[in-house]
Amino acid sequence: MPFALHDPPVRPAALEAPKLSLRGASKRFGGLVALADVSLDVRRGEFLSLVGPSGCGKSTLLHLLAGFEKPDDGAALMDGRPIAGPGPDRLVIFQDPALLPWLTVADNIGFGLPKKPRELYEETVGLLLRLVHLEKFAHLRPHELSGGMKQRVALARALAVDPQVLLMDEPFAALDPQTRELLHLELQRLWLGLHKTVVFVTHSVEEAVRLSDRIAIMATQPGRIRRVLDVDLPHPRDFNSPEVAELRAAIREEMRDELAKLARREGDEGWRR
Amino acid sequence: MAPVRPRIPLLVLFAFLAAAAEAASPSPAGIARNLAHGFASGVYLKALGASALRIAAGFALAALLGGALGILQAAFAPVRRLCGPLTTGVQALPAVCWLPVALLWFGRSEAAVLFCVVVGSLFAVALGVRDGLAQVPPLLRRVGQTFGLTRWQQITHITIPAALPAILAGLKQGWSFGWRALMAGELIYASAGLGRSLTAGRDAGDANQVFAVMLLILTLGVAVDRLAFGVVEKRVLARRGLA
Repeated sequence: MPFALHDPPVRPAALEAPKLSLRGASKRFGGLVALADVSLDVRRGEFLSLVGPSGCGKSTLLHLLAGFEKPDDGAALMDGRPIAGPGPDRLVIFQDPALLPWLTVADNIGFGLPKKPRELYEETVGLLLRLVHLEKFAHLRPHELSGGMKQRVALARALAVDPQVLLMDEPFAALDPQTRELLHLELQRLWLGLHKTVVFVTHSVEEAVRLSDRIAIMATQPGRIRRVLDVDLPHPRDFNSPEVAELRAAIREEMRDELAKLARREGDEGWRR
Repeated sequence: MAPVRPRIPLLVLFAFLAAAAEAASPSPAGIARNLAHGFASGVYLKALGASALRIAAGFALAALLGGALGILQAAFAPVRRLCGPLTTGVQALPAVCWLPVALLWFGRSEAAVLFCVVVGSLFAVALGVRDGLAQVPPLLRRVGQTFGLTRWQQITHITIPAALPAILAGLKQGWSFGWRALMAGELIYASAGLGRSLTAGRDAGDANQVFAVMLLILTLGVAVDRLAFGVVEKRVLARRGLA
């Protein structure tokens, strides 16, 4: 309806509008309540981490935003519109790099790109290879790469389609500490330069404190958001600074409660069995 | 009572056995002579050609039907529940068991032999295709989804390449089952073919010919397995770091 009348968009409000949001979202799997009445706004361009013990529903929350799952109640929105399904505007990076084993590193990176015109494709892939420092490995297959290299390919593959949002589901959990450290630096560099909105699921408090603008601490059974903390510290962050240490301790304290609850419950169930 | 002395019949028996033994025991030289003669006269080339044509037609048909059966089972759960156990069961049935059915339905005809080849190989192909398609890692499907692939792109870019090793294994097994079925079929009926040459050798009491033809069957079987399937399979697996 080209002549329908609309209210003019209010620019400041539109700018402040969250990129992604959950409004009273719940998700059940059979009898298990994975998420209960969760509301959360993800701001445009921010790096938000979700931390919490296993089973708190942080992956489920991410899957609602990705569109892999739909909330049973409430809504999952992007730019104020309901999320209908997965799509390349919200690219998901998994714990397993999930590269396609039959493609070379270069073609994995170019997976989401149009293959024609050929020159443009090759140029873009070349740029991305340099971005993640893998230009020497362009023609190898995934099975010839280390875990850290694979995850860098996955990152480049995601960035190739220029998504507005990156949804990262414990992407570095399977890596050794040294590789993880390197990838933290790499991700931080990319995020600072590319201004993507990132939602980052992790069970590592260090990782969350190091990378995030905000940290949502989740609680278990039913899964919900317990608290959202702002991290007003400049990047890159010094891990030995008192502020960082203080924040880490505070989050640990919050999570200790949750872990104790979890342990009690498991103990209970064990006893009942 | 005078003892029976069957000297002369015994001698005859020995002579007969010796002749039979010579006919029944092949020698390398005899086999080589037979092969040379067979190729020179064009008999073996004709037999090879006839068998190759039959296996090609039968296997192509089996790949088509088996592929369709596998795809249907992978795509539709009711079809899988209905045909799944049957496919697995029938696949284990030696192709020779289909011979009586083939003769009953088609008589001693070319169609009967073709039928044997097709049913001998079709279920192995169907199993490979079905399991290959069904066992695509769910995570790779998710990758396709997050990149916004359409259903069709999902199939061409994720499902088929991911299922390729299993599909190839199914085709390879289907081929070897089909080849066996063809030889069994050709023993019963064939105007020409390696199985026919085998029967001809037996009828002539010529062990050299029997072994020579067996050698040909073996060679062709190994050659197709190694050269056609082996090369493709090795490439596919090596790419994926599986070989």
